Amino acid sequence: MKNCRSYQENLALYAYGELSGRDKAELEHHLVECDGCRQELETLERILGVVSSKTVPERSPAFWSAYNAKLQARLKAEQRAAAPRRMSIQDRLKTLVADIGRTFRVRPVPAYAFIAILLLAGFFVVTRIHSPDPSRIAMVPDQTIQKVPHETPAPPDADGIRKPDTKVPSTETVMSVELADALVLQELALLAELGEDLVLLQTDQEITREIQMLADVVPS
Amino acid sequence: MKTLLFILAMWSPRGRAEDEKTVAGDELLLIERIKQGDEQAFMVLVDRYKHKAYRIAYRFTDNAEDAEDLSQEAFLKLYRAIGSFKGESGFYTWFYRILVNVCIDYTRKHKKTAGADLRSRERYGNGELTPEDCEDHRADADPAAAVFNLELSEKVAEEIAALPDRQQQVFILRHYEGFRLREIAEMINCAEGTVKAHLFRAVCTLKERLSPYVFGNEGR
Repeated sequence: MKNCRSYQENLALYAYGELSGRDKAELEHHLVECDGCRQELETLERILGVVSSKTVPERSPAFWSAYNAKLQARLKAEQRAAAPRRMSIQDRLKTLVADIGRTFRVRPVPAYAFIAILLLAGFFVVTRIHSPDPSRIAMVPDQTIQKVPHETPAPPDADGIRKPDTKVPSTETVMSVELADALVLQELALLAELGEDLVLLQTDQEITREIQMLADVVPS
Repeated sequence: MKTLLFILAMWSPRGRAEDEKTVAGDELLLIERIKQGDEQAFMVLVDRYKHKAYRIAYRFTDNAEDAEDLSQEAFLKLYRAIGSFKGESGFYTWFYRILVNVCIDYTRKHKKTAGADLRSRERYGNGELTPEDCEDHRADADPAAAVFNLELSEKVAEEIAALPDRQQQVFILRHYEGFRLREIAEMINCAEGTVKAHLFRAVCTLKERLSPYVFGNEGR
């Protein structure tokens, strides 16, 4: 058996017509018998009646015309403000994060983490591709890195004919020193792996002599 | 006779259901046009909802200028967010959710405290207020009664504004705008049982605080 307090909890819903079924039937039956709850309902309905008397002032048709005009002006102003503005890097990143979030159904924070991981992975791959194998470099002493003079083909003569087998000595660097050094180091490391004897060339004279010997050994 | 049959058809449950379906279909077409940037379609929707939007905003703000501003802000948000409307909930529920959120932001910034404003009676005594100012109470022949009613009206607005956010939202949407509890639950994104609890607490609070004003010396 319910007491008055539990019925009174339903009075507000009853006053708004939001009570139905068994709850409504029970309350109505109780209201017939209970003066206190009936009076409580009357009080409630009177208060709600007073609350309803607080009305919203009616607005004129002129107000509504001005309302539309103001709204359209605000819309235009927003569009003007948005149109010339280019997306900042931060906005682009936010858009990217939102797109990733939508695609992979993850929240923004994991999306940022996802981007960070992608960037790190990209950096790792790029550095691996463009750097020589460190295990090979470690085998080669720094002193072996030398500038080697080389020969370039002679320029064409006045008739535009290049004479065959004409070489001009040159010390011009044809590739970046770093790249050339890296290639030399790789070759030396490879030779060392194959068990070849390596001679440490320390002066220009030694290098020139070694090249001359190689030129004599290798038939032209 | 034909007119009578037509009226009966319009007022029959089936007629009304079909009418609602047509309205919903019509709105979906409008929404699709708005998504493609059709401002005229947007203004058609504005015309359809602006009166109610203004009224709801007025209930939250108790101020004509702010009500106009907030309701327009809700329409602008709707325009910006229309791309995300998937049609999973009713359009008006979706729009009123935007509007209610705009109003909640406003009330959080401008939370009124009961008794903070100068009472109408004092303003009337100071000569700041005349019965003509009491727009809602012009029908009152007795100027004193008009002022009393205005004061009561202000007290009602004040007490509603002083309710906790959720209770205030639920009370305004149910009491003044007549939304069903399940619709409100969808709008404010919570369970129907929670909405019931908020409504009950709001009604209890208002009854307690307004009773001295409404019943005066009646002793309730």
